[in-house]
Amino acid sequence: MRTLAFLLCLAAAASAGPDLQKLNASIVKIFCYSQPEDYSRPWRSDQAFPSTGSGFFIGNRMIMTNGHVVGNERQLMVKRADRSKRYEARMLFAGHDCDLAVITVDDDSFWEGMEKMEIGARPGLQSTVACIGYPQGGEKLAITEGVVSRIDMRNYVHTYGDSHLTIQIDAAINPGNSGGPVVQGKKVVGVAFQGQRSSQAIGYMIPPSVIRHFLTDIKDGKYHGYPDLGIVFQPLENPTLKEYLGLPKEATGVVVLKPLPFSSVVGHVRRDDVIHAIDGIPVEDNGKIKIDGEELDMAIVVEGKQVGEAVTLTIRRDGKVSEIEVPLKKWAARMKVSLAYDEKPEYLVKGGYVFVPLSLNYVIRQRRGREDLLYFLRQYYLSIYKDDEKREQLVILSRVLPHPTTRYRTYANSIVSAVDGKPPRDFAEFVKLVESATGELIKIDFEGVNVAPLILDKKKLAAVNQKILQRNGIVQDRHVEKEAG
Amino acid sequence: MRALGLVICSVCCLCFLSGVSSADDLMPRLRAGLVKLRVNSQGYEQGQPWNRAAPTTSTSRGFVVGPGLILTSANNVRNHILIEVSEANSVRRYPAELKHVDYRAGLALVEITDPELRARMKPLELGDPVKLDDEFDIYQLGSDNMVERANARVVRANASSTRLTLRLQASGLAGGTGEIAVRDGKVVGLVTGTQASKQQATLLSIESIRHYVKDHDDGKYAGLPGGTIWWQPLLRDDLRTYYGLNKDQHGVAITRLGKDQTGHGVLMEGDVLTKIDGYDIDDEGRFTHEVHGRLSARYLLFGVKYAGETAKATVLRKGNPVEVEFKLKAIVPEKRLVPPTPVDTRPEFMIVGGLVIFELNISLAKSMPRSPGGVVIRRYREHATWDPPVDRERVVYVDRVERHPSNKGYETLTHAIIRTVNGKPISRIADVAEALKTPQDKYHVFTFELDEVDFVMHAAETEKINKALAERYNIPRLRYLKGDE
Repeated sequence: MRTLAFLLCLAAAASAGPDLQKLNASIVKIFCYSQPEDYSRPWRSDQAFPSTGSGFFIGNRMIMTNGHVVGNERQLMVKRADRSKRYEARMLFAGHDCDLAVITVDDDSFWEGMEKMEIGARPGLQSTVACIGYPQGGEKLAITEGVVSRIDMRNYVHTYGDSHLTIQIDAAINPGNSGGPVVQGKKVVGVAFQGQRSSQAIGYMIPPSVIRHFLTDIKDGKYHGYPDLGIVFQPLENPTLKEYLGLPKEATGVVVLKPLPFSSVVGHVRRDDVIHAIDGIPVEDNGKIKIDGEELDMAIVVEGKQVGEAVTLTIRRDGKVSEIEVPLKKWAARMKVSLAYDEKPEYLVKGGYVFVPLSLNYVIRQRRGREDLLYFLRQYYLSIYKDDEKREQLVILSRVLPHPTTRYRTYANSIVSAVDGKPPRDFAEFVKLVESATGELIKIDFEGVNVAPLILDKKKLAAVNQKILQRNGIVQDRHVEKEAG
Repeated sequence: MRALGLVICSVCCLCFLSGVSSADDLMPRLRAGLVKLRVNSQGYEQGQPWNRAAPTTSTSRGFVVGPGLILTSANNVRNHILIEVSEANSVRRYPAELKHVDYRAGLALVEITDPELRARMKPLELGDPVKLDDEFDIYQLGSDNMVERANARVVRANASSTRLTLRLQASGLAGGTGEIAVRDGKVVGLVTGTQASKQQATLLSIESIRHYVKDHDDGKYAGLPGGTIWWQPLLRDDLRTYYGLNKDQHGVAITRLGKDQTGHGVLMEGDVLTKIDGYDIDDEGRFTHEVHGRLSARYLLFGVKYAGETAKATVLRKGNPVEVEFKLKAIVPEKRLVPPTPVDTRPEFMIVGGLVIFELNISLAKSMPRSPGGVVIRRYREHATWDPPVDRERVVYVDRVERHPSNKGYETLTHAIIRTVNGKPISRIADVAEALKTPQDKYHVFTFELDEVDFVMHAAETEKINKALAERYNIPRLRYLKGDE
């Protein structure tokens, strides 16, 4: 099997030379004018800036590119290599968790003579591929060849919080290349998406399996994202541990340490369950599975599924082996441990105090206290936070706007623990608790030792709130996504 | 120690009786009262406390306060293994021994053991307090043990909880610690730090020196009182309203009290502390000292009296003034969840099956990496001066795993806080040793916080594995617990 695969790869490599004429009618340069949100001062947006990327025609008036090429876009334009005109484009679907997006152009003339590119199979190791796009903002297509050097699960830096199958190639992927196709023969075998600053001539591409997952997902007109199994497990490499757990010597797998709250496995899998196989594929003691002779993370099986599909786990519980079916869902936690795009941040400005929900977008904006906030994110992620599953989001007092009534405030990134003694379940409930407080004084307590409570005098708030908003150029005193139940 | 106390006391009395000395006999008296200390120190390696750190040698100064007794800064004798002293105009060194040290007071007594030198050295008199703008001389033994003089002026006073210090602007300072400030022929302070480049120095006040010396009078060193009393300044209008203060009332709000520590059970959380021993406390938590102006009110509680004495205070409790009296209790660093870094003693540790186990202290917490586990442990520093939680006296954790075939699969276990060993909860490192006496079936089982992996090893093989580890990693001893030799 290995020999056959190798021969096929050689054959593909032999015919790798792309037809430039056709490529000019398939690959476009994308001009994006984007504007990130300012999570530190959430009522405003950052200064917009221009950037360019690459994309390719996949049929149905759709151009595929990277999520990060078009994220937070305010204006999109595309240009064909064989034409001088730039066309206005618009976003159709963005899957930021897999760094893919499709855009379209409404002008019919744009599509005339466009050549659709087919998605091929995953290229084999050591096979040659060609990376095509508009690196460094050039006007002409650039083609660089490289060899597939590694296939494994890797973090997608666009969101920091997501990992998927990734193909490493020994060709440099430079800014502007992003979103461009990586081809083998006449077919697309990847989308160029990230490089490695510390190494020269190492680039990464999104493999066909992830591209197909995205395209299947959007077929119903909505992007749902990747499902997550949601387990923290311990490998069983240590023979004494295996023996202690009462496992037969020949048994392999991993032992569950924790089912993550809000995840697919809640109610299906328990701590100390041993997972022997996933969809019938044996799980090795290090948590890997073998597919076509390649060792990959067991998560790869879930990678291939859509939200709503199921995975079958072979588990051992109390000495008995059984198969269970786990319906897959997207991790439902509302605290954002991955970077979000194309969203307006939530906030509340009350009497000069700015409250926001804790999110990774907020954390990366902080110069001070970033470690502590990451700690809280991690605590939350593992659901070992004080009230664990009762706290869906953590609320932070992020900054204090200067005003005579807000003197001597030294709060910075203090985590709200309670409003008038009640811990808020999420940001919406926090806002509701503040707004519906019945006393003249609202007491807001914070986590940590010796952090003084904040006492809001409702009469004074009413008198100063509008002035503080005006002084700081804040049009809306809040943005809350969800109404509190 | 009683004899030591009585001797110092009698010397002080004699000094007071002798009256003001003439300037003419100052230099002979300084030559007989100033000493240079040469201290060889050797602590323990932080990451490998089974090894001693490289020895260091430091030079500092002190002065004679009683027959054969030298007063110097406590830091000068930290982790000492050999102390030598020399006198003015001679570089010959004589052996000396540490008689007493109090790191909170910042002072130490070193005893000269050579009878001839003891006979030659004469105590210097202690003078009266110096205040802002006072000028005086700083004396020390220079590199060749000649008496050197610099001129200094007090530019501000500062009080920590336990010490009153003065910042000096000085000209001609050589840099170092242990130099003495002299006015009217009497010692008025001890230099504890210098910034020679800025010509600035920190002087431990004569008040703090007298407090320490007098404590030895009855032969029982009581020490400084201590405890955890956290308070909040009441500068903010909202907090003042919340605590019911009118514009003429001032003080600080008590937010936390250490269990069984000073004030506990008498002062209450929520009290507004308005007066201590007759001194008014302002909204920042300061009082006005007759000589030195505004100083921290904590100094009144912990720097002026002795452990065991009482303090009187006035608090506003629910708006009503209440007079209270409470005992100033000795501080017990041992009771801190994260105690100070051990000094003059070997830190406790254990190595079991490759697990390197420590009890967290301040310097270990400070040096934690930014890994998730490290960040979690660093957060325990918040509790450094706070009550241990009921279920834990110390933070006992696995720092790392020294690799051995038996611990295969646990290589990444780092900075993991131990929850239980063999089913028994771990509160102190000694609990680990105790728990290992009763294996769980035939295994030793460690569980950790944050749902880290469980560690399992064969109990019967522990000794063999430990011995192999000791040989492989050149570890002279596999544990040090209090009580071990």
